[in-house]
Amino acid sequence: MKAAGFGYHRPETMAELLTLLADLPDARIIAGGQSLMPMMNFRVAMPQHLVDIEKIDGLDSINLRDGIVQIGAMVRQADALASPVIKENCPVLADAIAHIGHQQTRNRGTVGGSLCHLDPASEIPLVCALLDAQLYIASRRGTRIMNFRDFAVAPLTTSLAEDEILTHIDLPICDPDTRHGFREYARRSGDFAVVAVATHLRFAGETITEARMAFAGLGTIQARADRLEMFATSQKLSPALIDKLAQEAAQMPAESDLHHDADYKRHLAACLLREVLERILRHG
Amino acid sequence: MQHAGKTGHARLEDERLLRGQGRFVDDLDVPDLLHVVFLRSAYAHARIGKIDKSAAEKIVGVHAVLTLADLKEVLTCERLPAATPASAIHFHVDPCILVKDEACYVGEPIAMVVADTRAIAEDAAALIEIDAEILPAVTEIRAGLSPDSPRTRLDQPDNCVARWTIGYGDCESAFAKAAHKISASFELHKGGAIPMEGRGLLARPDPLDGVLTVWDSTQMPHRVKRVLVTTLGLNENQIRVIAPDVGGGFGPKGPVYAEEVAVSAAALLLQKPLKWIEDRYENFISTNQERDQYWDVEGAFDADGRLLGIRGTLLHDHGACTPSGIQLPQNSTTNLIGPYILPTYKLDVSLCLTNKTPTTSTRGAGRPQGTFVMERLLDRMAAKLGIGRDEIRRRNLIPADALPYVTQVLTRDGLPMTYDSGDYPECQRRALEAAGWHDFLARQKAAREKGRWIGLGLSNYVEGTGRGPFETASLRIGPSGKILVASGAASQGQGTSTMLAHIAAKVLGVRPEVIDVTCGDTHAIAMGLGAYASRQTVTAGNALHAASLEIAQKIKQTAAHLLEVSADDLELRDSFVQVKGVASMKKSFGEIAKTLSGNAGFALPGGMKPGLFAAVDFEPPAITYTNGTHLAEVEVDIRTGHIKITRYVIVHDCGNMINPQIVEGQVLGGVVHGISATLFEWIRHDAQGQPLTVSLADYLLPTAHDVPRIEIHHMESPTPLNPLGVKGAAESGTIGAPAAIVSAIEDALAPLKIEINQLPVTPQRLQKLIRKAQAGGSP
Amino acid sequence: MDERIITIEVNGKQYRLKVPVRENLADFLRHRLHLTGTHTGCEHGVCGSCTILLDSRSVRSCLILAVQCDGRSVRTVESLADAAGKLDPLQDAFSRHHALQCGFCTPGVLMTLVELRENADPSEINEDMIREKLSGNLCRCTGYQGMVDAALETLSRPDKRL
Ligand SMILES: Cc1cc2nc3c(=O)[nH]c(=O)nc-3n(C[C@@H](O)[C@H](O)[C@H](O)COP(=O)(O)OP(=O)(O)OC[C@H]3O[C@@H](n4cnc5c(N)ncnc54)[C@H](O)[C@@H]3O)c2cc1C
Ligand code: FES
Ligand code: FES
Repeated sequence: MKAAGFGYHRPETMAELLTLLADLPDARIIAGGQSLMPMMNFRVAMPQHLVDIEKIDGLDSINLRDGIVQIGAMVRQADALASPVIKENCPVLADAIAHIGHQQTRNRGTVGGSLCHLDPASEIPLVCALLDAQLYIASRRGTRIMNFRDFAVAPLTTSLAEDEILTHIDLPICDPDTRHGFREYARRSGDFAVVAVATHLRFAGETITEARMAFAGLGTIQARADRLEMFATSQKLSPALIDKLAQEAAQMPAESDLHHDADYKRHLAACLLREVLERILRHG
Repeated sequence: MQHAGKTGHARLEDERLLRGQGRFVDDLDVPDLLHVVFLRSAYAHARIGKIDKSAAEKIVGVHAVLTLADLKEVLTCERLPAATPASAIHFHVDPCILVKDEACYVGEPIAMVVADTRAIAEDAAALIEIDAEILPAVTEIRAGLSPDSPRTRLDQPDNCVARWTIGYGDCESAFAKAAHKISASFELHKGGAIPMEGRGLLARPDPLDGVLTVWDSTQMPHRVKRVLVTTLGLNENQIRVIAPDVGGGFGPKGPVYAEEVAVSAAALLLQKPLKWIEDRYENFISTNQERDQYWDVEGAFDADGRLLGIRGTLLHDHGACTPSGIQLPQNSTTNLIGPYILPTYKLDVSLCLTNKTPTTSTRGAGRPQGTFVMERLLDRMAAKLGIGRDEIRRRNLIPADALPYVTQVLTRDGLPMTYDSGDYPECQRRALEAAGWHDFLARQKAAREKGRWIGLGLSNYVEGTGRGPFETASLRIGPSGKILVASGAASQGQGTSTMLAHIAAKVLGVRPEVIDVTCGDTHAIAMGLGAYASRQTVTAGNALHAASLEIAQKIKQTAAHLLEVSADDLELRDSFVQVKGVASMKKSFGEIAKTLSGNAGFALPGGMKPGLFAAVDFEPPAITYTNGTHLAEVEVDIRTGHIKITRYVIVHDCGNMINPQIVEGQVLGGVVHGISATLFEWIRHDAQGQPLTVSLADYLLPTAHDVPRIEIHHMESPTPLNPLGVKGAAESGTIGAPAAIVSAIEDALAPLKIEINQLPVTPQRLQKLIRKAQAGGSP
Repeated sequence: MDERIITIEVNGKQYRLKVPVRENLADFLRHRLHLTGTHTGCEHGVCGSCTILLDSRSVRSCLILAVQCDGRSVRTVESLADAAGKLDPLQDAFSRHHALQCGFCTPGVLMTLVELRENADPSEINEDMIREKLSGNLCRCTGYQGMVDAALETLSRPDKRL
């Protein structure tokens, strides 16, 4: 199980990187390598060129500004998990990252790599869907900013062009009027989610003024559940509402995979959503 | 019995391994080493035509691309003489060493590439072109056994490779007079062995002495040698097989595989040292596994819940060849009986060849399935009668005073299966007490009131250990005074060397560390079998014990002449033989050995025979039976179907223990293997026979975070069958686990009356049963 | 074949070597430097037997290329015993607690625990945390209990032990 041959490039500046991406045929960015390298060792992926982005300055910082947490694509998952800025301003992301893999994979795996790999059971894309993350994408042709919704095309498929790199993401900070929740069911410690749910509710008094709910693992792309959000908006969070939302969640589209069928996944989605909402109801 | 271990010494193997100085096959390096990659069948069943090697041969760094036709020059036969004999087998299926014209499972080796590096060999293998005509594949055993099924192999009459009935007594009458009957169907899956180190070997022909040395990650180096002698047409002194450090075996490293012969043959052909290391993907598709058994059974009981008989059928997935005969399903059928009185028994067994990886035993070796069936029947009968699960077992357990207990079935060696020693009711009693069985109902009630679903389950089982026919061990002391032990036993992590050193050390009055043990080297000892059936402490241990006694005696007798005292007045201490209480009157072992190695022309003192060397074959008179009781406590999350094992208690009886810490290690590892088989491991294929679980991300093994702390309590009922009074312990942990865990899950969910009939119990499967029950039976 | 010269510090020693770019760090350590204590049990990032410390953080050496480690520092199991050859307290505890059987997973497990020792506050280390940290290291032999006990004894404060 050895990778096929490839050319290896380690640019030191963004300009150099963008040129390489534009000029090299069949080039693949390598970030933490925690998804790409297994695929290369299995020879499922056999890129002609690998472009290592570890040396590029400025891709690994976490900044807070104007109600936004900005996270560089090369921020390691372990560093994101340990970051006080993320914990305080975007706790749902911290909760989510704690569920990714193991210490050894989080030490290498990056926030950007997880987004670009876009496994449908991944936690970081789930949070980005939930919060409508803005993604910054660069190429020699310029920079564009994209909502996660437009970035995520299908499982394992993004709208990145071959010459583009994701440089960083913006997430809105969670202010005192919002309550978030995250729940995941995985078979073992460190596994990808079978199903995970993340919620973000804004309250005015007891009334939900803004409802966001998103799921991962259903086999479809991580996305907000518009229909559920619609039911919740302007309602009071109550056991009856939770029942209703859980029932709706149990009807969501889902796809079977080798290990779990759509029926079970929908069932889990409903259970996990119920748990998250009940906890918010209990603890306010 | 005095114990080493906790109170005594660390294992002799540990220090090297902890320093990273183990010598596993892939750690070995020799000059001019080349690397082998196998091109394997991508289809479950295909006729193989022309193999075009030309593109592969052109890659820089490739030395050869070989097919069966190329190897013929150095082979005496095309097929691997692997099969274990069994009269029930209608036809043996020995696979070709490389596929000749028909590939019968995904992963079967077709060709090999020899190159400077593994990576280059993989590059080249991808360029080999094969004409393959896809044939219909047999992938499911019920369909495979039906008359209109396609055939697994074109040259066989049908897929039913073996069929027999095991049984005794008048089952019909037993069922006719039964007060109660229970019938059940089970689909029992057990996965692969998945040792952390895969298979692999390094074969080096030496032009200086003409010996082919093969370092092989095998459980049975002497068997490998025998197969190589046969297939390569060499003499016994031209092949040396060494099992270096082996990173786990658990069964499937026992049989000999085509790769071992092919790599050795290619090394001879090319006169180059070659290494092949199985990668994890290959391990999932080409190393033997266990997989599926379907049981349809019925139990007859009297009014008090005493067993009158069990009857039914067992269908077993045998894979594409018969590397280990019928031993795996045979173990299932005999182990069903367990520690219980079963007056009548009749089971029809059919083995179906399938276009999947061949099957052989993995840890537990079919026994967990048999035990599972019996234990489920008992639990269900208890529920029907409204008596305790402990009580129904008490009513059926063989009482202590009935041992030795002769059952009415025969084991592979043709002897009646006889339980030699133990106290099964007491074992259960202690386990129930240790696990708080009698308080549990109250705890369960309290938990249920809080909406928590907890359950406690139990199982009893026996494990036939110490299988013969023999094992050898030798002990030698030369003038250097160093104590050299050799044995045909082989270790894959069981601490075999430590175990042997402890046995010899105790007899010779030395510290175990001063003994040099060589295991798994065919040059160190002429005969041997190796590791299977939890046997080495019993067989090699007793062989060495006898050899040590012989040498101790000889040392004393020789010293008696030299010191002019009676042998009875001598004792052995720290590599010296000395007059009891007179430490100044002593001779070192080295001096004794020197005396016995003789001086040209002079007679040996006192007419002693030359040399301090003894070799003993220990032939166990019969199998010795370890037994145990497992109690598992679980909590089920009824929403997700998640099962958490919260407590695990075992009472275990493997006779005398040479080293309790090693025994506990074996039991712990075995239990976790059993937990894993019950909750996680599942080999999946698609309808065409393509394996789908080929990575450790898709094939789940439990992590440290997924298993509980396990409490082990010991009973020691020495066996009368060997002088050390020891029994095996390596598989025992696995055997009881599935039955105990499932008993606990059903107990937790008792208000829902859920019956679990499939292994593994995945959260999805369990959750569906829960929902079905909640919906009042309709899905 | 694409090759590159790299400078790398391994267990305190500097190396300057030419490597094929496709060679991963595990193979580099094992077959080029002959540090065979680091094992490869899966080569796809799951088993953890290849765990080493890269600039003091635990990583899968099967998922990183040797060229990516140019200019960096690596520690493997071979670095644990002190200069006089005395075993690290963790290694010693592993032996006493029978935390290893075949020993194949052991080097990776040890390196994971070394990282934990160097980073966590002993008063926070308890059994659950150790089991969670070990979740990236598969062992097929031991059932994990011995290694958990060895880690508890060496890494945690006495009141966090059983
Ligand atoms: C044992 C194990 C368990 C895991 N468990 C989980 C889990 O529970 N949840 C989970 O979400 N993940 C899990 N993962 C995967 C996770 O660890 C990876 O980190 C992540 O999926 C990819 O991130 P990376 O930085 O390693 O990216 P890489 O593997 O380097 O790259 C992944 C893909 O993204 C592209 N890419 C990377 N960065 C950029 C960029 N900045 N711009 C454009 N393209 C880019 C690459 O070209 C490649 O196609 C697990 C991995 C392992 C080995
Ligand atoms: S070999 Fe690297 S994780 Fe298994
Ligand atoms: S000791 Fe063998 S795999 Fe852990």
